[in-house]
Amino acid sequence: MTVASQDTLVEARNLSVLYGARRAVDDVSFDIPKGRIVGLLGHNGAGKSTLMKAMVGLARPQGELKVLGLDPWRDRVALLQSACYIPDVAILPRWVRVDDLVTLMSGLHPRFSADRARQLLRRTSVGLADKVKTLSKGMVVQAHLALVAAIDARLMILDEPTLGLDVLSRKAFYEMLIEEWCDGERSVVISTHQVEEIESLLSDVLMLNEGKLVLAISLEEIDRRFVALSHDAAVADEMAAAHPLLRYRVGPGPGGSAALFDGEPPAHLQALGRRMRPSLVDLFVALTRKPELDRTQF
Amino acid sequence: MTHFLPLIRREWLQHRFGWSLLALLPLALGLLVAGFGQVEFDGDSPLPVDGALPVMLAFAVVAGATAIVFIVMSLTSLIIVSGLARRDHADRSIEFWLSLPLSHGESLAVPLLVHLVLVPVAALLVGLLGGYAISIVLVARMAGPAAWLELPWGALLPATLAIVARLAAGLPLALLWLSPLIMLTVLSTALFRRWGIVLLAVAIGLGSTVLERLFGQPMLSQLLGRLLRNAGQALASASGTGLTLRSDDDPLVALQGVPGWALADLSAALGALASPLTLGALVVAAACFALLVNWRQRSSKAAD
Amino acid sequence: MQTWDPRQPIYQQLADLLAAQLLDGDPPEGQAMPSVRALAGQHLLNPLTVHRALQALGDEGLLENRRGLGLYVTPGARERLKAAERQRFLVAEWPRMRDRLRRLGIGPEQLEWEPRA
Repeated sequence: MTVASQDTLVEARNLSVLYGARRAVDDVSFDIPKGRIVGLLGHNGAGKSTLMKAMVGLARPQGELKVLGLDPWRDRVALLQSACYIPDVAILPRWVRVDDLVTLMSGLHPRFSADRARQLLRRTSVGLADKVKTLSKGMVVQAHLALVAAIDARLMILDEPTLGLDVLSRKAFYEMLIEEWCDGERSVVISTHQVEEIESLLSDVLMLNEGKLVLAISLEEIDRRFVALSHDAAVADEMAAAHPLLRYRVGPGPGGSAALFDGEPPAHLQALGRRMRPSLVDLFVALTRKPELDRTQF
Repeated sequence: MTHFLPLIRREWLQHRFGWSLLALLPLALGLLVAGFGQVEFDGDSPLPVDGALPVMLAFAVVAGATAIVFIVMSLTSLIIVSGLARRDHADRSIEFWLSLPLSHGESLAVPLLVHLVLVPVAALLVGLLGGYAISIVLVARMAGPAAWLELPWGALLPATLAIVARLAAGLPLALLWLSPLIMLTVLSTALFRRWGIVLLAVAIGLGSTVLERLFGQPMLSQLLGRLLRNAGQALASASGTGLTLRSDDDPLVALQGVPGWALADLSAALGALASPLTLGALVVAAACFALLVNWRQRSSKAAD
Repeated sequence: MQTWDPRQPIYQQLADLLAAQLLDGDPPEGQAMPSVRALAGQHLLNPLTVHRALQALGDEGLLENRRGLGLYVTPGARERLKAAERQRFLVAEWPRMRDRLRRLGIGPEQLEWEPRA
């Protein structure tokens, strides 16, 4: 393993995953360095879950994929010792008691810390003596997240981990993610539908649309490359003439229109509007929209 | 395999209540019957302790209890094993297990080991101890409280232990003969869910009819029959002669003969291994296991 | 969850927020700044963003990096911030306010300098 690959946790080149004739993931290439929080965005069926499965050896891909220097399909067990994966949060065994699950995981996972898990569980409303089947969905999610957070992994792959959690619990999860996980050596890949909420946490974003990678970029670069101009309705036609990626509304009233450009908009337009940071949602819609979808449907 | 013990522990955590209930219920019933049931003897006075009846009864009770608990738990295991491939699919916890660093092989092999080997052996021990407990109660009722201790243990102990040992030693042999059927069932429920067993039965039925027509002899059913018979004999009566204890024989002599019978029976069962059927059975079972590992690997990929 | 103004980069807004806190003496001069992780957790931001904000404050001379110990508030930072704020008020805000007062016909004698008790 070269020094460079120690810093790059995931390398994908021309990665595809096929289900029969259907390309769930289509010729995707990207790198994930250490110390990042990567958001994986896409509509339902875009290939997010499949991509994540390929990264943990549960789906066999074509092309090149290296995760923590290993081939996930061949070295799945070794990989899962240093990477942790939440495929879905409603999947804990229903017959088990929470404390027994902690004990089982200590035996089954070399980097799991039972003390850490119990400490994290104490912060939630989940009791150690509770049986999973008596817990509400939100509590199952909290328990699962606490268990996974107690694993000392270099890569965390989370498929919609906050589904079913209320706002306070989501906040607590994000706090825990930042405070426990962001040491500059670990990376997190997280897919979620609550893009607005998580946008400020992300350092990078991967946008998938129908299996294809539409954008692989850091948030810093988004600020530099994409420009949104908010403007009055009066200049809407002039804005449209410059062929922006997307035209949308950011607020009520006449000044609430906006146009999103890839690259610097023409100078005369910049004078007519006010420069803004495009939100991730707007950028996503702009790059993946189908004519029948509007902004609220994401 | 460092995951051996935790995986065994998983089975225990999941099944401990059912196991305890099924193992202890027959014993509890036995205790009740022994303590309060109708036992008819000639005369009301305590029978002489060195008479034939108490010791033969004690032996029968111990052997019977052992056998009953063994059979109940083995049947339970067979039922659990038949649904093993799909058991975590209903609550989707299979995805949880797949997210842990466990190989497909050990995730399938350890539960099979637990249910097919460890559980029946544990059942033998539980049955043995329970049988002793019941025999204490029974003999006390028949011949007074201290009578149990005065039973001819020199002959009784080896005889009861020999029965347990015979069954324990015969278990792996029986499993060998049954392995193709068991693994085919697991594989077929993996592939076809609840219909798996039905389909397997139909396939076997059709297969044997077709082969019979083709080759003129009932090959498949003969094969299966031999497998089942060998399995049964692996546990008892491999030498063809059952364990007969006639009541007019001196009980001590009869009991003393039990270990010898058990040993001879076991050697006969071992002798039955020298047959191409053994290899065939192992090959089919191993092939099914390999296919199961492959199935588990492929089924982890689900549509997005 | 805190929403950030889309008109400015987030790291800039965080830097301004931290600067305002510094002006209030939180943390006081010579004391350590909270760690990047702590700030990130508090504001639910990516640590890289927090890093940039602290960098910006460092570039303005408000924070200093003590090797091995982390970022500390430079002595005199409060004064510098106050001076910068003063300058901004006098150059940008005051002229607007003064024009408004003129338009309303309010003279200096009508302005109350002491807050009402």
